[in-house]
Formats: sequence, structure tokens, C-alpha cells
Amino acid sequence: MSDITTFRSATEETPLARRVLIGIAAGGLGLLVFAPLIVVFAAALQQGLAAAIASLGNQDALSAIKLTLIITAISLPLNAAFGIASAWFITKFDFRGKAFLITLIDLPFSVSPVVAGLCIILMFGTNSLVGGWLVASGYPIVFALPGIVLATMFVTFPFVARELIPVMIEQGRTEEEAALTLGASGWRVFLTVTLPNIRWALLYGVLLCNARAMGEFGAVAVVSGKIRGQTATMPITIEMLYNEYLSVAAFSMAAVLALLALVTLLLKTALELRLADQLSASNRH
Amino acid sequence: MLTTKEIGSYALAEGVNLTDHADGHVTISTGLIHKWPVARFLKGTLAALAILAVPFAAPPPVLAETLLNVSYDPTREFYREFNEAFAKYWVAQGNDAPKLEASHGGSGAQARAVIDGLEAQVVTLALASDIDKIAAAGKMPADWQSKLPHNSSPYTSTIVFLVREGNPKGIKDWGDLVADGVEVITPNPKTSGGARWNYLAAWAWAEKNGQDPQAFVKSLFEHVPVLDSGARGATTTFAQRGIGDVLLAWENEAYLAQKELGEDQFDIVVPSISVLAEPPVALVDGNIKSDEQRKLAQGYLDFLYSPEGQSLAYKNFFRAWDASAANPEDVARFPKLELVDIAHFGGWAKVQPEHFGDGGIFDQIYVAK
Amino acid sequence: MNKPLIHRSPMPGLGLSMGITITMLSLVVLLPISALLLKGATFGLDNIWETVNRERVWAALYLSFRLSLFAALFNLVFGVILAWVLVRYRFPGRRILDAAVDLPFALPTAVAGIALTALYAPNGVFGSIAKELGFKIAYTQWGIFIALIFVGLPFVTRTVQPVVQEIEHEVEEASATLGASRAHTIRRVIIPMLMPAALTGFALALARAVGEYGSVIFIAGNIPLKTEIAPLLIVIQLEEFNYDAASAIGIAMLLISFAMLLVINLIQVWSRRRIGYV
Repeated sequence: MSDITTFRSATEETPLARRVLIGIAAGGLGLLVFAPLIVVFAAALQQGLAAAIASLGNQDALSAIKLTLIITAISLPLNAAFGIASAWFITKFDFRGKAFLITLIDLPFSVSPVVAGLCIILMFGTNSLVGGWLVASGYPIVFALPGIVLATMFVTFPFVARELIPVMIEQGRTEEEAALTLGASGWRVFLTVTLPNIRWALLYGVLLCNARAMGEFGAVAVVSGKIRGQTATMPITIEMLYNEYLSVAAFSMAAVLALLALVTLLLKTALELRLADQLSASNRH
Repeated sequence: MLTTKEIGSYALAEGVNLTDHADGHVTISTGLIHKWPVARFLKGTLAALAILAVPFAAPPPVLAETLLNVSYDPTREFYREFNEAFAKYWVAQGNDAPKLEASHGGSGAQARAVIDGLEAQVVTLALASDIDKIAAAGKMPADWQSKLPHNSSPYTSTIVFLVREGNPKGIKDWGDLVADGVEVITPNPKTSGGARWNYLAAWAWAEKNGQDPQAFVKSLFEHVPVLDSGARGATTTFAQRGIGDVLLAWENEAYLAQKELGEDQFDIVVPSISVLAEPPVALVDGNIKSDEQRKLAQGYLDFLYSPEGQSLAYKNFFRAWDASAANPEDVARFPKLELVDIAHFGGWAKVQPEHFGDGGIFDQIYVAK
Repeated sequence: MNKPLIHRSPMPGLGLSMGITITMLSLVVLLPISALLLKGATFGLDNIWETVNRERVWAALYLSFRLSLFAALFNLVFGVILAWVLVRYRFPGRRILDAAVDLPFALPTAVAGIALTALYAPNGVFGSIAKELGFKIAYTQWGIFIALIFVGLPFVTRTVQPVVQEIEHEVEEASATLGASRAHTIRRVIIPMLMPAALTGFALALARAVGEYGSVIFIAGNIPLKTEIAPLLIVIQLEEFNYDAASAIGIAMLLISFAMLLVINLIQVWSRRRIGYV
């Protein structure tokens, strides 16, 4: 056994290096992520679990949770569809202005969320041409669900595309080209050749998108109208509760938000385990 | 020749191998695109439009008997109680049960939302200047403030000091705030309505005590180590982060902070002079859909001035006008002090640009040395 | 130069993918941003310049972009290490670490700001240690730096992770067989493979940090000329109902960020062309 480990060390770091790297990773995350999370949970539980749960039981809190889930459920698939389409377009074809197009996709990140909200107000608010017409025809965008969805999509827009593009570049096109020569249809090539290759990147993109969609405050606050029980998302409700000096309720909801965003990680873990089975099965052949 | 090839690690390919190059590549002769794919591009466009249209498909129901009150922080608890009381009263008057909605946020941001189309029938904001902006956008008459008693302010508040238990720095009045070693916490007057009142109260004290007010507020803000963007942030900085010796706060928020953070940790100090802050309320004519709704909105505002409405304001730490139905304890907690109102400074229309506008007196405090 | 706009390709789905890309990009991103630019256009270039060309605005822009750059650089190094550790090593608690990576996005920025300030304020757990050592973190530029690292943390890790997962062991084995030391393999084989993804993550973390408002205002102190960030100036202008000036500063930030992202993306496309497809 010891011979095998010595042999394997050619493609692995020394145990010392591994320990240092793991130490850096754990220490950094501890200081930057876990510590704040502990603060949030401690603040939520400062009057005990019962008080924290009771603070979430009212109608306003429940409708905020429901609204946030609805928004995520709408914007996530839309952005995933966009991400796959644009990554395919960018990596499978050669055209001029590619860097420019990628930068346009990145654009939502270079816009401060407050400005993002302002943009949507300027475009779809009642004082704008488009918004005025839409409101007059009974379809208000801002201060209603469509505006919040739009703001959420705006701030999460690049995630999936930007996850997929580097991976698809690294993969190249040869596999798809080979499949095509053999007469496979476009969809078949995508489903059987491309999708398995990009599934991790797609998953990470969706995870990020999901977390950010749930947690977005700045842009959504501008366009939501903050109507209690109607257009107040979880982050907005948290802010309102905090400003009311109800910090147990505010931090309890923040804790729920953190937990909700992590639900997708269960999916990832399940997928990982299934794939590990597949891999070990195929290795035996 | 038939060959089977592994493509990547996930797919097997089988087929006729036409041309083998020396470097191992395969030439592909089919599937070339010779033209711009206009028709397929349009198909893609339609597909995208179709999926985008999904969230826009639900038309929102517009009901006349709903009432949206757009308010500021932190009046949530007050309006929650008030809405319940009003709904009972309204039904007792022989009306249908109304659907009362409330929205809370920074006063300025809330005013902007109403201007940009948030359909509030009633606004209850922190500053008259914010409602003036809504009036300027044509949603209500310019003389809105004369429509209801007491400058349309059913309740008022003032600015007090919150100091640490036992008042270790001996802070009694505005003049003590600029003593050596005293750190003052206030939110930024540029982003917080309450902080504008802090600034004006300091100004009024300097005027009364024969000091140059501009020099006084300048030295006051030189004692401010952290300028939070909102009142709640400033309270947290002072109370939970342990920064500063005194917090300038709304009286109602000082009581809320004491209730939330522990009465044994902080003392409220009432200065010799402060401001009479009048958070005004108004009916937004431009958003009234029917006579029915107008009656409801008017009834809502009038109820704020009723003895029952006033007693709820007292209960939630506001200084109201009519104590007839209020719990005497709620009234007794407010000490008397000299108060100056905004008219003393020439009204918001003058104060806002002169002091807090771009390049105004407040901006001049922070210029590069 | 007679280069075609788009090269012929045997790949299917050009129309569909281009259609979805362009349409959704236009509706969700370009349309709202064009409204902002239109606002700027009606305000006038002179007025935009006058709004931006002030000492306080320059100080805020300089602060925002400088600290964002430092934070993104930190995230670049830390993110690559984290991605490597999470994919390659098996150790107790790995899944918990992996789960924590996305949290900076899930927590609303204000909550993150409050929690970070609680830790790094002079009476906080870490802040008190720093105070013993004689320096302050919260309410200084260090506080802003930490908040900006926090908001950009997931980007590099999550872009690099899938690439590490797809690296085939054969490549490393080949390198090792040919006599390369582990350090050499990492430097010459692995790092170049991770570079496009890492750069992408870096660019995104940078852009996100520049625009961040919610978490930073709690920890920054917000003293003009010292710890006042550019997005705060936009909020200040909005509080004065000055949409024009807010748009002006927003456009200035947008242009600088756009230029930075474009340069990073050009470098990437260019280097890819030089290396060719792997």
C-alpha cells in the first residue's frame, strides 16, 4: 500500500502542502463566511428558538418567503436558458466582436444594484414612455411582480453564461464535431455530448444564480414598492424588521434565507454521489 | 471503413471514417452553413420572447376598496396597530371591510417610489419636503399641508440624546457635544431625514446661544467618527458596536432602542432646545380611483386625529396632540422642552437646498484641507 | 482585411442560440441600461462631466475602484486555492466548506454588512484583537476591503471549480512521467488551464465589488473624502431627487467598469487565439 501512495504522490501535493492549503481554505472561509453566519444565527436565537420561530409565523413573513420563492422559480430557469444559449453561441461559433458581446453580458455586474433599479424605473416607471403605456393598458411593471423579476434577472443575468463559457472553451469543439460527422442531430449532440461535459459548470451557475436571486436587495428595493405582504421579498422584509428594532425577527428571516439558498446544495451533493457511483462502475470495466 | 471512437469520456461514436489526416484530424464535409440563418434567428427570437413573456402574463387585480399607505421607517408597529383599529372602526360605521396595505422604507426613497408610480392613496412620510416633491410631480395640490389640522401632522417627535448608562461624559446640552474627546454618532443628513433634524436642532441651539451656527455644526460634525446612512444603522453603531459617547436620535426611536437593547444600558438626555419634527400625512389625489376610495382614504386620515388614533400614536412613542383617550403613562414620559419648528428656519423649500443640497452648507463641512 | 462577420461552422443551433442570446440580452440588460444612457444624454455631457469632476466624487471613485481591485486580487488567489482544495482533497468538513462558498450571495447585503461590522468593530471578536495590535478594521478602508472580499468571494471559486473537475489526470501524469516536478507541473500545466476561468471570476468579482452598496455602508464609516464609496454618492443624489446627477455618476462608474471588463475579456480572447483550442 505504501508503495502505491509513494507512486501517486507524483500527481499530488506533499501532505504538508495539502495541509497548508486546506488550512488556508478553512481559515479564510472561517473568518469571512462562517463567522458572520454565526453572528446571524446568534442574533436570531438570542431569545431562544421558540421566539425565532414565532417571529416567522405571521402572515407577512410567510408571504415574503413565498414571494421570494416565486421570483427565484421564475428567474432561475430563464437565466439558465439564456446562459446555455449564449455560451453555445459564443463558444461554438467564430464571429467578430466576441469579447464585446461577453462584456455586454457582464454589464449587469458593473452596474451598482441601486443603479440597476434606477435603470428599470427609468425604462418602465410611469413617467417613461414604455412604462406609461404599459400602466395605461393595465400591466404595470415596476412595483409589481414583473419588475421584481426583471430586477432579479438583471442582477443574476451573467451567472450561468459566465460559468459555462470558460468550461466550454476548455472543452473545445472536437467532440461535438465528431458526433455531427456521425450524423447525430443538433439536439442529440447537445444532450449527449455537450451537456454531460458542462453539467458541473451549469450546476455551479445555477447555485450562484439561486443564492443571489434570493438574497438580492439593492435593485429589488428600488422597484418593489415594499408593500407588506405583497411586494416585500425576504431581504426587504428583513430590512423593514431591522428598522423596526425587531432584530430577532429580522435575523431569523436572514437565517431562513441562508438555509433556503443552501437547499440547492443538497441537489449538488446528490448528483455528486450518483456520479461517483457511475465513475467507479465504469472504472471497473 | 467502420471505426468506433470514444469522444471525450461520455460518448461513443461509430461510423464511416472518410479521410484520415496525418495529424489525426478528421475533415467534415457536411453541415456547413452558407448563409446568415435569418429564419432560424427569428425562430430563436420568438422562443426567447415567449419565455420572457411568462412573468408578464398575470394582470394584477385593481380593487377600489384597497388602500395603500406609503410610510417611512419606523412606523410599522404604529400603523399595524392603527390599521387594525381603523378597520374595526370603518366596519362599525357601516362600510365593507377595507383591505389596508402598508409600505415602509426611507422617507426619500418612498417619495420617489410614489412619484415613479407606486399607487399609494395615502402617504405618511418623515419630511414635508418629501411630500412636496410628490405634489410637484402633479399627484396632489401644492397646498396639501393646509388640508388637515396641525400642518397635516397628526403626531410629532423631537430629537434627543441617547448616552451610555450614567452619562460618563456629562453630556447635558448641545454645547457639550463639541467638548474635547466627545464622539457623536448621527446618520448622514444627506441620506437620512432624521439626521437633517439633528443638524437643524444643533443650528437652533447655536443661534440661541450666540454662537456662529455654521461654525458650530462644522465642529459638531468633526466629532462624528461614523456617518451611517440611516437612523437604524447609527443606533446599531452606537449601541452594539460601542462607538461614540452620544447618539442623536428621534425621540420615538430612542425609546424603541431602549426597549429593544435594554433600558439599563442607555439614558435619554433631553437638551435645552430641540426641534419640533412634524411627520406629515397626505392624500394622494392622483392615485384615487373612485369616490368610494376617496372616502376611505379621507376616513383613514381623519381617524389619525381621532382620540383613538392619537392614543395609539402616544403608545408608540410619538408626541401626539389629543391625549384624551391616551394612557396617562404614555403621555407622561415626554418631558417638556423648548421646540422650534421648520418655519423658524424658513420652511423646507428654503432649508433643503441651502443646507443639504449639492454644495450646500453641509457639503462645505467636508472639503479637502 | 476581408474577414467575415461570422465564420462558417458545421455546428448546429446558430440561429436559436443567437436569437435567444441577443433577444434576452436586449430586453433584460440593454433596454434598461439604454434608458440610463438616454437620461445621461438629455442631461448633457458637460453636465455629466461637471457632476463627476469634483474632488469628492474623484475621491470616492478612486477609493471604490482601488479597494475593489485589491479585493478581487485577494479573491483570485484565495478562490483558486479554495477551488483546488474543494475538488481535489478529501477531508472532514469539505462539504460544509463547499456549502459556505455561496453564502455571501444568499445573505442580503445589509445583513452581511451588519454581521461583518459586529465582528470587526473595535468591540467585536476580531476587531478587539486588531485593537490590541493597534489598528482598526471597521470604519476604515480595511473594513471596506473585507466587505468587498466577502461579496466577491464565490465568483473565482465557482468559475474555477468546474474546470478543476474536468482536468484529466492523464495530463498531470504525463507531465510527471516526463520528469516535471509537482511545482513545475502546477506552474506550467495546471495554472494555464485554470487561467481563463480564474480571470473570468476575477473580472466578475471586481465588477461586483465596485458596485456594492448594501454591505459596505455599514462597515465603511462613510466619512466624505476618507471612507465614502461611489455608490453612496449615487444614493445621496437620489435622496435629493436628482435623477440626472445620480445617472451621471452611475454612467461614469458603468463606463470605467465596462472598460475594465472589456480589457480583461480581450486579453482572454486574444490569449485563447494565441494558444489555440486545447
